[in-house]
Amino acid sequence: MKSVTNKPITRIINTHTHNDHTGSNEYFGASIENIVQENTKANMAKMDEFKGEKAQFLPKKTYKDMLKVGAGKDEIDLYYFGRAHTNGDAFVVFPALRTMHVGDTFAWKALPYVDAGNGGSVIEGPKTLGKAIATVKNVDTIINGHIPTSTWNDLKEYQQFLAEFAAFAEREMKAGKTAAQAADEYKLDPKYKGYVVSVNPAFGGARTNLDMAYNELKK
Amino acid sequence: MTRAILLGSLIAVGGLSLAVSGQAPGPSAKSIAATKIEKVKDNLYVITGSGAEDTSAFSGGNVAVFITDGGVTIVDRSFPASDRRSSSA
Repeated sequence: MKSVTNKPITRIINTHTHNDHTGSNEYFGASIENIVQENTKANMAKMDEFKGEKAQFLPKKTYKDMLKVGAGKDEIDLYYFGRAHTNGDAFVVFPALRTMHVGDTFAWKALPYVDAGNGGSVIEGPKTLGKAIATVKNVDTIINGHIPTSTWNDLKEYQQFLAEFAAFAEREMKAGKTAAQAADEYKLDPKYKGYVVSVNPAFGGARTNLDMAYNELKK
Repeated sequence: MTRAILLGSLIAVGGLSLAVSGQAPGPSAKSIAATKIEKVKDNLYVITGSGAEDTSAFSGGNVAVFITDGGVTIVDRSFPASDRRSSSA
């Protein structure tokens, strides 16, 4: 980072609870301003990394639906639009730069990696992204959870991809198919260029997502 | 040198399993090699890492770096520093 600035790190925002996004807390100490959505703080509090004495490293500043920090060209708008990857995913907008960090709500061009244990949802995910798209204005660039960057149109396309997958799950369940049968039948629509079903079985695939979708739809 | 400072200050490598899957073994020498900083816009950078195909090279989520008048805001933070000691790969 020294290659781009000598200024100190004064603020940390975590998009969600996972330790590949919230790691290094102790490294920065407890005095730095750390902001997360309130559900993410609750999820972080359950992690071993924040148990006991380490609870001092939990974020002190939280928000529910929206929080604005900074002003002018330094303004950052934090949003929460509902369940997706977890139940505390932050959408971080840099208005002056027309850029939004969407974390793992759009990590890869693949079926989602949903953490049901931390409140994530296969069925709600596309609705949540739909709210983000309907609410946030004047963004052209997306910073993703894992692929480096994409565009606003990529986000819209991904929302459609997720919505179609959720609809597929619902259709298959209504037709009396098991999740395993549905997974066998699932095929990537070739209109989604550059997409794969799964980047890695460890990060979810058709079967995992369909199992979760079925569980959600049964409730 | 720049890369060493960058990695030492932010990436904090370690051998850690993902909270959910329990399968991904966390960052390794390969994942460090994959880490780089890219400019997104003026004053906004992303520290990006590996793809997800090879879990032994997995370097965690993207870290956004936003440079403001009052200091630097980072969005997300890769793997925990506390797990550096257990890194063996």
